[in-house]
Amino acid sequence: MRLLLTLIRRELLEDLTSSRYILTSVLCIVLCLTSIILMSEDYKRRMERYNFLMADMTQEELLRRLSFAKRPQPLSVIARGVDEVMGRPLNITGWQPEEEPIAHVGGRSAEGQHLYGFAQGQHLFALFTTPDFVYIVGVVLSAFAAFLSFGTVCGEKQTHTLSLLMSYSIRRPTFLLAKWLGGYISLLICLCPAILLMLVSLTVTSVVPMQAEDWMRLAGIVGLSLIYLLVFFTLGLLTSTLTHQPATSLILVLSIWALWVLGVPRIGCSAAKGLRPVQPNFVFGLQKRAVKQGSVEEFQETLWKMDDVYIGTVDAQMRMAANLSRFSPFASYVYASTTLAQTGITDAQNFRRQVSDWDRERRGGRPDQLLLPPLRLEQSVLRMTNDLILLFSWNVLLFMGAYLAFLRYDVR
Amino acid sequence: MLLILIRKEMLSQVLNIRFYVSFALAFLLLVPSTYILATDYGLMQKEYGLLIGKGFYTPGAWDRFWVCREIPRLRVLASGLDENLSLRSHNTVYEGAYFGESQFAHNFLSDILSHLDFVFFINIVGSLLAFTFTYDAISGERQRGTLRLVMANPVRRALLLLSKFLGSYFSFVVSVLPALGADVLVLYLHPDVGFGSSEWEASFWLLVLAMLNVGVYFMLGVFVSCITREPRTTLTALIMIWVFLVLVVPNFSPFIAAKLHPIPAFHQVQRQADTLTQESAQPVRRQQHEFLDAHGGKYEAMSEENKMEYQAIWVNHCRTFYARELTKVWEAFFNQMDAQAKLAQCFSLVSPSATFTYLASNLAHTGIESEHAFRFATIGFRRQYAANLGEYIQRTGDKTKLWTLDDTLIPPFEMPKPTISTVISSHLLQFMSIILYGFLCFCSAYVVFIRSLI
Repeated sequence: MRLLLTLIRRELLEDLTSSRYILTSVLCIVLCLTSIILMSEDYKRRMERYNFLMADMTQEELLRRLSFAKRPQPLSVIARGVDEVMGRPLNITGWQPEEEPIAHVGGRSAEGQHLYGFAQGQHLFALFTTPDFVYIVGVVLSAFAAFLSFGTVCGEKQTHTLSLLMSYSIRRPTFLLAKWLGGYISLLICLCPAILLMLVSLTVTSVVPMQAEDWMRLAGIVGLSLIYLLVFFTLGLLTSTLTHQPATSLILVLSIWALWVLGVPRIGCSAAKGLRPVQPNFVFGLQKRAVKQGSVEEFQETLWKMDDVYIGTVDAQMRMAANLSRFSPFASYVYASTTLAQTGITDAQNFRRQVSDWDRERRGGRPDQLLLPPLRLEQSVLRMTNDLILLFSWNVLLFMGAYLAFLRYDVR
Repeated sequence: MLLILIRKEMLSQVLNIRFYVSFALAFLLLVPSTYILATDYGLMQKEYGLLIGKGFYTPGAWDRFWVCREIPRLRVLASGLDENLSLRSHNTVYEGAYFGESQFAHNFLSDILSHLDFVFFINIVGSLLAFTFTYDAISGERQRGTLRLVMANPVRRALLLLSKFLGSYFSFVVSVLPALGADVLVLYLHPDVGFGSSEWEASFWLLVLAMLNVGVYFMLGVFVSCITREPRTTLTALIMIWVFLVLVVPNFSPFIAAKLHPIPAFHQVQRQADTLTQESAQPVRRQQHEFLDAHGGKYEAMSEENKMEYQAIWVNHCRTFYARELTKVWEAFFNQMDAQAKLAQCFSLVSPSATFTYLASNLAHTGIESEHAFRFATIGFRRQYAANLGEYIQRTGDKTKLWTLDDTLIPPFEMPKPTISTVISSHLLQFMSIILYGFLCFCSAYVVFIRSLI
């Protein structure tokens, strides 16, 4: 144990005095602060839009049709997910059974509930990914984590300190564990100032109203981020035990990073579109238009059934895409953190279901106040458990790989 | 001498693992993604084909119609705005046009994860590979002591630098060439894509642009390698630069532009439009009342002809008002959005990657400019339609066309499709900025290298 602590201390000292770690720390601070400032501005804009919309709702509109929007989630400043999409105004019209109760994209005069995406100005932001905390950790810092650990073992070998160290009575697992823990603690120390400053900025600016539960969720996202970063740190450790030169290890780790973070999730999503295609909304709308109207109740029932089938196929495609992309820890991290931030896919589905159910009840003659309670903390945690387990599994698998490779490693 | 040095550099690159990694990554990422996007395009084409052939399409009612554009074929290489790109606008006689494809029931994952396309590959993976090919170009030779050996020969420093750049750059090109060839084959053989000569020409320019963009990163890699003494330091610096240029600047610039050049929210404009609508409706309603008073005061008691005349007052107002006055409000809003987008593009000049993305999406007609062009084309279409109808009514006195859709009065919907030369000439500054970036890196590398100790 004492030896382990000594080795960890040595690793910490070596890392924290290196320019790589100092630069990473500075970059983390700059990125996290810029991100939180810009995302707070974005949240403010969305809140203004929300307030404007809700103030805009007149009594007449309430009677004639319902026009409302989903309130932006406070934690969307950390993980925006689909919050912006869900926050777009939603119109529900109807004195009569609707032709297109869920699906028509278009103007107010079109009947049915729909989101309309008219000139929202979003397309400027559509060309690039939103630079929120989840993006910074998921893409930028994961690359850094791998970059900081790629030379853990093979770097020591290149400088001939590995053979020197192994000539002492140090067990290989102890050495590897010390390297792993020491390096990871160094990474955490690098991240700490950035995360703390981000939290301070969130509190001081008070643009985002954070409740106690939001803080708990935020803590969860930070914890998740640390587990995710550990995956890439361990990946770097693995490649460094598989190779004998840092340059080879670096190229290997960056390639895996590119495949894992950039390739797999996107290819998974695109592949699901091809493997389980869903007809466009407007084609579905045309099909509904062709339904022959009998009695009001029958007509309504037929359209609702069609809606259910359509939503079912969309959800099946989404499920397939999510499962395919889960081969990448990046996808698991994004799904889990957006679920915690109440801006994830499950929240979007929950919102859609609530609106749909309420609308059906309303049409069934049971007018009720529309309440859109977001998922509770325990529900969110339950829904992200699979992704959390996956992230843990990646860590265990990669460390096991590194351990096995290091047992057979030629230290000379 | 230059050729010998280039050959030496290429040989050392080809024997290195990074050459094979580059080859594998290009094949693994580029070919499947192009195939998937081509299939996706085929599916879209199949569904939208019904509408696109007509340009203008009405789903049965006289008061609403859709205006459709062609799906840009080059979205298989540069998906650009992807699902945020409007392929049709929904128009009603009583309101303005609605764009966008946002839907209540859709695959939300596409809002979180964008497509992996050729542009994405070049931007992220290509730039990263460029740095792995060049990080030890000078500093590695210096550390191994071979730089002294090389410089002991009568080799000019500029020549050595150029050979380092060209050698590593050509090696990269050779490593991704099979994947690019396979990509071309996919595009050529895929039954749904069907590229015409203009698409092939645009693809060629896209490739040229991509190679220029990657070239800048090669130059940057050589430059940083000249500054630093050890490959490890070079790598640290390059990774930082890569993060800044590829992951930070492009993603942050739209948000910074939105902060510096805020535009009113959509619903504020909507409110403005509503107020204008209400104000303009008052005299028309008065006119209707006067008409009603002049014809007995009761709608039900009026003759069919007068009833039509009475309604025509309102419908005619809607047709002309929404097509002319109201669209001015939206035009002003679109222009503000355009200005914001231009500001974001100005910021993006800092990063060759962001510039490349904007340029590539414009070349492929899948970017912000294409979206704006479609919106303005729709507005123009509505105006022309209203003008044709007004002229017809004035000429014939027949107001029945206010309620019916007459093909002879519907103007052809023309979506401006700028040629490659137009796109290039209108974005010359951005093109030049990429070239300038590379040139500056080479000059800086040369200046640093002639002053550095061997």
